[in-house]
This record gives sequence, C-alpha cells and structure tokens, in this order.
Amino acid sequence: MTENRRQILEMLAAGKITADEAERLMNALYGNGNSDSRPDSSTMAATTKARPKYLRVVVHDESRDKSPTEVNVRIPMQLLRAGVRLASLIPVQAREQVNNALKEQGMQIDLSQIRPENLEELVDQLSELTVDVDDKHSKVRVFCE
Amino acid sequence: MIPLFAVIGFRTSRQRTFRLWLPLFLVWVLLLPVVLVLFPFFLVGCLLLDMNAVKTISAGWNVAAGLRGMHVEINDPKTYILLRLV
Repeated sequence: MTENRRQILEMLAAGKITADEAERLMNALYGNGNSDSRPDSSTMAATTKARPKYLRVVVHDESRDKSPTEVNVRIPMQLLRAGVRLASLIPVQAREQVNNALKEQGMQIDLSQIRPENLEELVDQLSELTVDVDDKHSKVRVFCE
Repeated sequence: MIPLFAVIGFRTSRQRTFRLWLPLFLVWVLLLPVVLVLFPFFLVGCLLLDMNAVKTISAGWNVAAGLRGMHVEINDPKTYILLRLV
C-alpha cells in the first residue's frame, strides 16, 4: 500500500473525509479508471520522460510601437527546486516575518511547510500547463518544455 | 553542474548586434581564493544565525547549478538584450 493511499484511508477512517471525497482523491492519484489499480512501471516511466525541464515565458507586444517587442525567458526547473530548498533554510525569525507579511496579503502559507517533495508534485503537474493571454496588441504564453 | 559560459548579447546604437561568450569557469577559478578567505566568516555567520552550514552550501550550489540553461532575451526596436548561461 502506498503512503498516499494509506493517508487517504486513514482520513476516511477518522471521519475527516467522506467516501466520495476519498474516491475522488484516489482517482486523482491513480487516474479515473479502477481506483484499485496502481500505476505500473510503464506509466511511471512515461511520467518521468514527460517531466518538463524548463518554464518558458514568451511575450509579444505591439502596443507601444509599430515594431513589436518580444521577450523570451526560459527558467530551468532545477532553479525552482533549488529556490525551494533555499527557502527551507531561511532562519526561523525571518520565516515568521515572511509568513506574517504573506498573511497580511491574504495568503495563508507557511513557508516551513513548503518542501522539495511538494515542488516535485507541482512540477509533474506543470508538464501539461499552458497559459495563453491574447490581447488586441499583445500575447503572453507561459508553458513548460 | 554550474554554468561554464555566459552568452551576452546587445545591440549598439548603430543597430549592430553583438554576442559575447564569457568563460565563466575562469571567473569561478578566480573567485575560489576569495571564497576560501571568506569561508570562516561564513561559518561564524551560520553559527550566529543557527543555520546548517552544509545544507546552506548545498542549497547555494544547487541554485548556481540551476542557473545553467537560463535564457533571457528581450528584443525591442531600440534594445536587444540576451543573457544565456551554458
């Protein structure tokens, strides 16, 4: 039994979530098919292959001038991971100040809870992410590659 | 692996575009003695701030290594700036 499955079942047993919620969590973890099925090695390999290496931001703006302005930024995912690891080293006093500042802005985030493992999950999900902003004079694309 | 070269591009007022390859590995070599001199101060700082020195060095190295592959390019009618770390 995987750790995630065990946690879901424990939450269900403790009454923290309903059976429907547990099923949805299982489906989210193991796909919409049979929730009892575990991801096989080929699925895992495909996931690993599809893991994005870069976050790319492309901006094409024609609003200010006749000639367009183009911005092309490529950020390695490894840098994001390293940043999260660096954030975990923030001294406790500074971390509290940052958390308080975030709370004042309405963000209930505890920096001490952000771990590289969480980022790995996020990065895995980012492979499908594409953000397109189309304006009359400008286009912004954010995607992973 | 930390970046070994930086490519810096810019456009002059005469609309000529230049690209320079900077050997960063030489910069790292030149910085090494400075790092060694500053290392005791870093350790003292870590002790004062109650930080794990090994983890801090590891995180710093990861950030430096993560910079490899970074690409920033801004192309404007008046300006062209390129920074790429290889």
